[in-house]
Amino acid sequence: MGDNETTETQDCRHEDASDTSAGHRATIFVVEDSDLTFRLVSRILQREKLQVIRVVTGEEAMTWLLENEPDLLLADYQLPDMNSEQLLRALQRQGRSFPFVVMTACGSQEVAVRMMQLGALDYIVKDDNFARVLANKISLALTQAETQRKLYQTQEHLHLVKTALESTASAMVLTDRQGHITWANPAFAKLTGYSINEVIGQNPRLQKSGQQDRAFYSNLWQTILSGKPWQGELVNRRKDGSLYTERITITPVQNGQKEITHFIGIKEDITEQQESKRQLAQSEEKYRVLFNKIIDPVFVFEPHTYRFLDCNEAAHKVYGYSLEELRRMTPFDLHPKHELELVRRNIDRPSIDSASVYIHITKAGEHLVVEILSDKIAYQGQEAWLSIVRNITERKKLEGQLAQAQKLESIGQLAAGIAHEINTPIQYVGDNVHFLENAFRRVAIVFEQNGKLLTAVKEGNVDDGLIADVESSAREQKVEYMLRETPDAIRETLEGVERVTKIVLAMKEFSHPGTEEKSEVDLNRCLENTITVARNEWKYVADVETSFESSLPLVPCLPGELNQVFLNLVVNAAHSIADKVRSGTGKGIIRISSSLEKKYAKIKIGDTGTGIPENIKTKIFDPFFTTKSVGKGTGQGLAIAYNVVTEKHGGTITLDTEVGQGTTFTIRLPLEC
Amino acid sequence: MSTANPVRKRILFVDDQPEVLHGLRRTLFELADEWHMEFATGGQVALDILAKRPFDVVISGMHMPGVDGADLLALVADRFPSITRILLSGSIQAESAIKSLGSAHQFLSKPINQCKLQDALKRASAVRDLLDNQQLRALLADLRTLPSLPTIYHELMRKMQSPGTTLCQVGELIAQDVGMTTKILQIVNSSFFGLPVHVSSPVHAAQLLGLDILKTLVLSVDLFTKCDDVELSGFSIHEFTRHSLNVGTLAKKIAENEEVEKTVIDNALLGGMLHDLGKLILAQNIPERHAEALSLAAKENIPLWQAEQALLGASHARIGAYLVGLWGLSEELMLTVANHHAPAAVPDDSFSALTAVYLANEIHKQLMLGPEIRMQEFDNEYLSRLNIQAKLPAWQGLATELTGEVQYDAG
Repeated sequence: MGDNETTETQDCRHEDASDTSAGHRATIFVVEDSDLTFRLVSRILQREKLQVIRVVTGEEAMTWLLENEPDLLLADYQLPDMNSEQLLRALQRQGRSFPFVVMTACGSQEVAVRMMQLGALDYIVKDDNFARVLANKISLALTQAETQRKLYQTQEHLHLVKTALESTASAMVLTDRQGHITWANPAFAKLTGYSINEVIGQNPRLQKSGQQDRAFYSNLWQTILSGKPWQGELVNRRKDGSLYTERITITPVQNGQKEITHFIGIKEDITEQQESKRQLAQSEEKYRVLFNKIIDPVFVFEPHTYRFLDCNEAAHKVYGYSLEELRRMTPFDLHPKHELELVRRNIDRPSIDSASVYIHITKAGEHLVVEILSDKIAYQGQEAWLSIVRNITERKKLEGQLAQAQKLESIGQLAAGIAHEINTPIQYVGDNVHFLENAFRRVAIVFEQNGKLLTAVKEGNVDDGLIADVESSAREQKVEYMLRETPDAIRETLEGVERVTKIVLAMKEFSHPGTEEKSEVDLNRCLENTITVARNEWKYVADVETSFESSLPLVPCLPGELNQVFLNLVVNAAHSIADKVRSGTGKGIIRISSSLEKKYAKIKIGDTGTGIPENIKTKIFDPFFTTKSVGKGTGQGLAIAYNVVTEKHGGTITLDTEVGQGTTFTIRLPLEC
Repeated sequence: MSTANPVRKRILFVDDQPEVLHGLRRTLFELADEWHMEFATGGQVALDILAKRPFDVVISGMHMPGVDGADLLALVADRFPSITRILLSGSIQAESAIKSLGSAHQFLSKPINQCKLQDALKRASAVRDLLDNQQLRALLADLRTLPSLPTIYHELMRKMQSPGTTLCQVGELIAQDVGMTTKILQIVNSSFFGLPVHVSSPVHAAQLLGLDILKTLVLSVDLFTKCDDVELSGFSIHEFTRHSLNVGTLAKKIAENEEVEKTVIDNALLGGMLHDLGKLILAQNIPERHAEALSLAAKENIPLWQAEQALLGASHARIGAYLVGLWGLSEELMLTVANHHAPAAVPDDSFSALTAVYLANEIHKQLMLGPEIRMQEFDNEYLSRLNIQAKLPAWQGLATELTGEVQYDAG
């Protein structure tokens, strides 16, 4: 760079030059190899409160400019290693461009022109005026650069907005005040089926479907012409004639004079949305109907507060509470006090496979026996419990009645048998007592005679007549017979009374009132009692052989129910043998045993009867299954036995059977519950 | 009724429990003079004893191992048909009563007190005195049912199988038929069904038994049978039934007029109904002998019963009474039937069912035959003994009224 003279710096400042924006000192990047020139430039620019950075070579400028962005580049044309043109081109190749001003030597007009073409804002000739014009030119350049920058920014922004509008999914349309379309975006084209070119200049009413009435449009126009935006849904027609539903917002655009110049329409196709909304409503409706038409009460409740959230119509009907009432309640409010602890234990657990049985109390105070199935569900976006309640009160009643019927059946059968068992001893006890009464009367007569004789003997005046009287009295009263028979009559009477006592006692123990709670039971004694009370059933057809484990501990049982099981099995055994005896064989045997097997008490009741054919073996525990003729049995005996042993005692009941050989039932009851 | 034939009756007691037999022996020992009693432990022992010695009455328990009571009585009926068969059972089930229906004449249930047992045995013994003829005894002992009027029989069957039939309707229908009335009273008076009272009307009987048991009895056990020979020579079951109903109704009216106890009135009706039961038995079972008796009576101009007495050694009155006694109906009924031709034989001076039936029968016969033999047939001595002669015209008036009233369907 030439060693140019410096000139006086001018004290002429330009606001814009010193301050491109508030609080920002503009930076001027100076590329100048001549120290003299630079000093001059620097002095002038600093006076203008401009920040000055200087490099000497094109290479250095290049390096700095790739990293930094000055507000203005002031470069000498002729640099030691290149000229400014080369520098700028190199920078442009790197995608960098800056507002710049070039300094040229005197008389290089063509250089100046080339540089201006390259984008320089100005050029300053290093002549005598240099120092005088520098500040001014720089200031102007800075202003120009700023304007350019702003313009560029605006253009950039507009471009962005346009791109955004064109790429948005919402269809947009711009009309003038008369309603002619002046612009539309591709989404509009996509939505309507018209190309943008087709609609420009057209009125949006070309899409009219006829689905909206005049009032609709007049309301629309009234709104937008009054300057307010209008929003609504309307059905329009595509180019291909198909209809669709759009939601449209029309915004009037006003100029400075508050005159409406344009309308902006933003529309969205909501056909699908509406369809899915309709489907949702439909499925909601369907679900509601299902929910409400389920015969079983269904409740939904919150998992933390347990408050009811919802219930179906059946729940209202069965419980008598309204939904409002229920929303203030929890499941706990439906149970009786004694169940609350149980409910507390189970309420956080799902019960899907096996329903639990509870008591529920309705608003009217009615107690229901219910089975509850519950599971977690998503309910309106949150977790909730769904409980399906089955009212099994009637079923329980029927089951109870059926069990009762079976019990009555076996009791009726027993009663007949026991009546017979008791009637027989009562018969001879009565006869014997009748005899004893008679005997006593007769013996008393003879005793009286003997008394007279004794008195006579004491008094010493016994005569033959008296002796004859005594003898004939004894003969007449058959005293010898009376005395001979009396001990036997007494013995048999006592024996008869004992028999009756035993039966009555066994019956009393046997018909132990069915308690709800288990008690410790001597199974051997239960079996003994069963054998006694059922004696009339087996004694004509079989002998009973027993083998009881004397060390069998007491077992927790429901004695009433278990006795019924034993009775059913013993009576079945007797009947089975009776069937066989009828066909001509002799008396059979019923073998009853108890034993210990690990943690179980094992009871076997076997018979030498007809056995059970293979094809019905699997059915014998089924309710109502019976091989007896109609009216002979309810078919509940073994079903109840099964239920009592497995369900109520957690035991097992199995059988071994062979046709013609007999059947043995084996019951295992856990020693601990 | 006692014919002077104080032969000791022979009674065999059977039970599988020796204690029961011991008790019976001890308690009945005072009657050892009157009866010869033996005791058999079990059915087989009883059969062995029966094979060796004759007996009048067998009284057996029901449930016994091996040969049970029903089996035993069936065998006795077969082998020793003239023996009176009584069941003494401890069972309370109607089934066992029904099972033994064919073979037992009477049913008693354990425990039975001494009075009842002695009554039953006394009656069973007394019945034997009504009839000496072993063949007739066997014939009567073998009777399980009595023939019924076909129209009534069919109507009853229809009613039994149609819903809505009431026990009252059934009872009233049964009361129209002599055979059915007798049979249902046998059933209902047995203590087997646990019925505590003595029943003397078919309606009451039907009500006590209940429709279920009645249905079983009528439909599956053939309690009643239809008369197959409606018109046998000299015997029309229609005529017979009409006469029985007329006499029963008139006897009842007469008894009511006398303001006697209800049981007497009931027995008067029943006695009237059953008084000629013997004729039905004879005509249905030995019709040729019955015909012979009829012709003898006509030839000799004697009452039929005298002809029967001459030919068979027993009148239809005795024969009917035997069955009434054998089947355990009341003693008064038995006496009434037995003596309805000659009430004076009964040493009783009060107005009884027998009196009513005797009068009703005679009055009705005269009414049917015509006025010319009126009065002369009455046993004036009996009437004056009871001091009721003066009432005769009034009763005859009743009869005349009734002939218009009693409607009976002979179709």
